[in-house]
Amino acid sequence: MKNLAHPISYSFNLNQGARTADFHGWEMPTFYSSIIEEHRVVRNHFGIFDVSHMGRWWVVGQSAQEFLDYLTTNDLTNLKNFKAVYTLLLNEEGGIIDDLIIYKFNPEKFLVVNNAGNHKAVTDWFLHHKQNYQVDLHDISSSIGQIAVQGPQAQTILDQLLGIDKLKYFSFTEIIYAGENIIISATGYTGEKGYELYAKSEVLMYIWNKLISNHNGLPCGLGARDLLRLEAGYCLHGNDISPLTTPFEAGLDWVCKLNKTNFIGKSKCQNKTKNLVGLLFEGKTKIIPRSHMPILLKDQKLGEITSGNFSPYLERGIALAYLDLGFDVDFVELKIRDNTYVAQITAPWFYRNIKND
Amino acid sequence: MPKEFFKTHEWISSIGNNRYQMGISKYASDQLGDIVFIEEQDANKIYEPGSSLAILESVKAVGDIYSPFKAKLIQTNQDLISNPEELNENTWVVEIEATDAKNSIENADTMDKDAYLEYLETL
Repeated sequence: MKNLAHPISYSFNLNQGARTADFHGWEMPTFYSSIIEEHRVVRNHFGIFDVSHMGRWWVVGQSAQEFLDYLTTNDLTNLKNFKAVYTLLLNEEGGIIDDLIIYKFNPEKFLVVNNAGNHKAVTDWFLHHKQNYQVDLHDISSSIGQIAVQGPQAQTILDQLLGIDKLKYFSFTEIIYAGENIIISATGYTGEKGYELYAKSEVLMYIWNKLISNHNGLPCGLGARDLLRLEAGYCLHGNDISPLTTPFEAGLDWVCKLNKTNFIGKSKCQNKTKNLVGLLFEGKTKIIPRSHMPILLKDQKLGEITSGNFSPYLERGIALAYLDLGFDVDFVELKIRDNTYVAQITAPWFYRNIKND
Repeated sequence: MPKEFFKTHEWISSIGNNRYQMGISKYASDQLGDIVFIEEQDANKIYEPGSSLAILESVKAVGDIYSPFKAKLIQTNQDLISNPEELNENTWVVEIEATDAKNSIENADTMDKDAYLEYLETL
């Protein structure tokens, strides 16, 4: 593969013979052993993901909080220090430029994490709006890496290795390990309890290798990550959300703090022509719903699937889909190769195990 | 008989009496990843060249086994239907019978394993 950027696990992946693919210009592992096995291990034990392809920023300065609060939908002013939020970057039309995790160190220092595929769009948007603010933006995507350790055993294992206390969901801390700074946050994209670690790539790969050699850690690729996030109902930008969908269409109204004075897209973020729903297919049917398949009722198109797959947890096809407004139905149909399959409409998530003990 | 390979990553092997078994290469099964379902087609029907004889659904993608010539589908491997995760280069998926001996594998565009491995290098 030519001209692709390398994630921090690149050499490891080469040695392991990981199956890789071009993911938004990054040579990312799709799986090491098997997508279903990697999924199972994360649900039952723990798995390790290289997510260094994500974009990372320090946003610092006197008006850092004011700047980010104006550009994003969630509330940073009332967020405590060392807490993180899931939030959205909207355009003026209320469309979603990207979804972000923002970590608040203090009102003048934030870590912002964006999707790899939207790094240019986020960069352009940030630079376009920063001129009115006392704020410095440092793109640290290449100097600071990111890995995720996810699964019910993640806390115990990381405590053994790094000596960390249990963190509440969406809290984070900073530790010094082997003389290097590591940010550890109780966040993830799998629907399991787990952590994300931010540090220099050498430090993260040292931890990565320790987790594998001393703790039976299993490296996992983007295939398992996509399956896990679909079961958890976490939107994937480019599939389930995009500049053409609003937060209220995507069921992300809870991320839009309308009592905030103002944020870009506030007046349009409630517009909707469709609703994100879950589709649950009957068990034991030979069907894997896939993105862009139309959902139907009596041959009338009611909407379209945005993400779909086979759920190893539920042992059936599941999907996220947009249902056009005005259809109040409990079931829809999907036609694949002349066969019609029925799916129950559900809330747009199927599994989560993220509550604090 | 040794396996012959197609550019579309299926293999075919003669079992005599104008009958053949077909499966997919290691490359194809690696590309597909975990197979979740195998959808079989109607047996004892005649399939035109290029029509699908079996559909392989994986968590990553969907793949077909295409009929290389006009053939009757004799059977689909029921062990694989029950255990689709067992699919690899050594397991056959479908058994077919050429409708016309002249119109069968001798005229199909196949490669032996070495040629196929060389072909993979060009992808």
